[in-house]
Amino acid sequence: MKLLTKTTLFFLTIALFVLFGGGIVFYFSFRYMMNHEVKRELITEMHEVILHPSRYNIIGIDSIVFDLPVHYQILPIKDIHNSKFVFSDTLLLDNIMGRYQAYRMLSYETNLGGKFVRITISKSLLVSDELVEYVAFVTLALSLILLLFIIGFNNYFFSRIWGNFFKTIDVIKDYSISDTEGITFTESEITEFNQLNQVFEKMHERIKQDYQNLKEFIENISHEIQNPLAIIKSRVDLLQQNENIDKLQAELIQSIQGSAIRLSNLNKSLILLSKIDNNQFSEREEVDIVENINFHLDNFEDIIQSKNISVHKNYKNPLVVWADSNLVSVMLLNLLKNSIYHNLPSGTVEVIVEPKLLTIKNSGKKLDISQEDLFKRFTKSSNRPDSLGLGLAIVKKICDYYHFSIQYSCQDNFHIITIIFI
Amino acid sequence: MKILIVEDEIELSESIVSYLKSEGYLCEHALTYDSAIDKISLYEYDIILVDLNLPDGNGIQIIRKLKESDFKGGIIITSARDTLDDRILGLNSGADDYLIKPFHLAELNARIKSLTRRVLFKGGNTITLNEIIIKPDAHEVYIKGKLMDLTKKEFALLLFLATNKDRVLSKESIAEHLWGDYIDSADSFDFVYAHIKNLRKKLIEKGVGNYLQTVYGVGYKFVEK
Repeated sequence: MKLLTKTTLFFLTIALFVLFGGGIVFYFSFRYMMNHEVKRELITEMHEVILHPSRYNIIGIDSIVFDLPVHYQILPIKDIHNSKFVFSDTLLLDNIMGRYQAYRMLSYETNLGGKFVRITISKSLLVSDELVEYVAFVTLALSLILLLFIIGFNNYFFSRIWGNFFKTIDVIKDYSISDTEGITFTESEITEFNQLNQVFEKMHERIKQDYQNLKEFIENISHEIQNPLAIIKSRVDLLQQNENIDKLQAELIQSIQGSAIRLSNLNKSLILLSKIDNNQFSEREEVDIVENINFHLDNFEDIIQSKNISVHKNYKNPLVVWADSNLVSVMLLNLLKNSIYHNLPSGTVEVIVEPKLLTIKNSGKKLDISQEDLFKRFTKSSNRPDSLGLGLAIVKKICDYYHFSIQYSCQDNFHIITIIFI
Repeated sequence: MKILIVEDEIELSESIVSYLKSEGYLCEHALTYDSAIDKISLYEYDIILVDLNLPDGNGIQIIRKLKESDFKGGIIITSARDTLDDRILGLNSGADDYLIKPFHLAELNARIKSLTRRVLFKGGNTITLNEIIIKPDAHEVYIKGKLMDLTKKEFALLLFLATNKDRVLSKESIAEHLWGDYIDSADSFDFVYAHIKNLRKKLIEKGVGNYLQTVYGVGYKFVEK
């Protein structure tokens, strides 16, 4: 969950609890206050009636006091049962509205001028209810506005405060160890973010140093290995010229030579991979893919013939990419080589060039390695233990380097490699 | 024909000298930059092999000095560095060829022969082996005066075998010569075999003796009887 969402949700939850709880408390206390007020008014009215009974009709009178309908009634009774103020709620027919309304009623039994009477004063609750509703509505509306403000302010402060943090994240995201230039962060007004940037800068320095050391170490090792290999190779060459070697010795020499060559090729391939990693192919030029393919197919012509493979060239348009010609050549060489070497006798290879698209499709046995591992280093088919297993890893590396997208699929014993030149 | 080998690895230098001597070249070797400079100022050489990384200097400097002194022979760089930049630097400084270590001695021999033809005989040289005449620059082979029909690779194979005649060439060195880098040699052996078979068949069809011999467990050999 995003930080902004999280904090907004957090604030909203708290605000909702506070507003909801507060609203309920406010609503009930307001109601209580209103009820209390009505009671007080009823008692005042009652004293008024007791003091000036002649003003009020014995049967009953409706009057409007301060916009509130009030109903007075004085009824003679035989005896006084209860000499206290009795409050009750009742429904009375409202003459003005023509329907029953809620009234609060105060009744009092007393001796009025020698006669026992029961005085009842009923006060409409309509307006006080309306007032409560109105206040509740205003409270709700204010709460909603407050919530909107919380969300808005949270967003605003979020981008103000965390902006630099996200800039830092962007810098780290685009960070590549092989970039020669350092990383630069924007100064923030928040100390913690500056500390974070400093930590990253220090980390970057350390990693760069380690990486540089490792790079030099690999380069030195790779070059130093070539010299002893050159000696082994030349010694074996001389040994092979010997007329007197027997069958066993010949096999031993052959095995030494094969291993030396494998080691040398392995070394060369690893150097190539590390060079791509180190960004050592920064020069770019226009490379004609079609011309390059034709060159390699030409180079393999005899092999194609001896395996009786039919090659279909389907060039729908010229295809030129902006890249290092050596790398593109190595990439195409590896792909075409695979399509020929891993083909079946009398199989087919189809090379299709479309706008921004190259497809190489060849017949062949089913893969005995998983598709995910296909582009990984040192992945090789079990029936070809001599292979280095680096060809497709190099192809993938080159594609990644130039942001070409490469896909492999297999349909009815046809292996299809597609490269999209973005 | 005199060759100077500038190489700081004694054993490699010994192997090269041993191989080239049996080819009939006069060889001398220099293990350091200084001794190389001494030798080229004192003696004349037809071909100079220069390693770029020397303990006390850079091979490029030797090549520049040679060019300043109006050296007419051929220069081959042997180096473990195989970047395009290194090659361009080497060839621009005046070298004629660039051979990446580790290399096969047969490959070195073929490069020297080709350089000799180009530099010393100005490309007019032909290789004659009994009834076979090879014109390397025209990519043509004549047998008893008749032009032979060979594919590019078959021609390259025949030339490689002929320049290293009476030498055993391993399948590995042939594969490397024909297909170059980044080819798993194991893949190529069958095709080397197929090429040899085709070439042998074509030669026999033309009524030439069986010059291509199989050396069991090692490779092939062109024997001029």
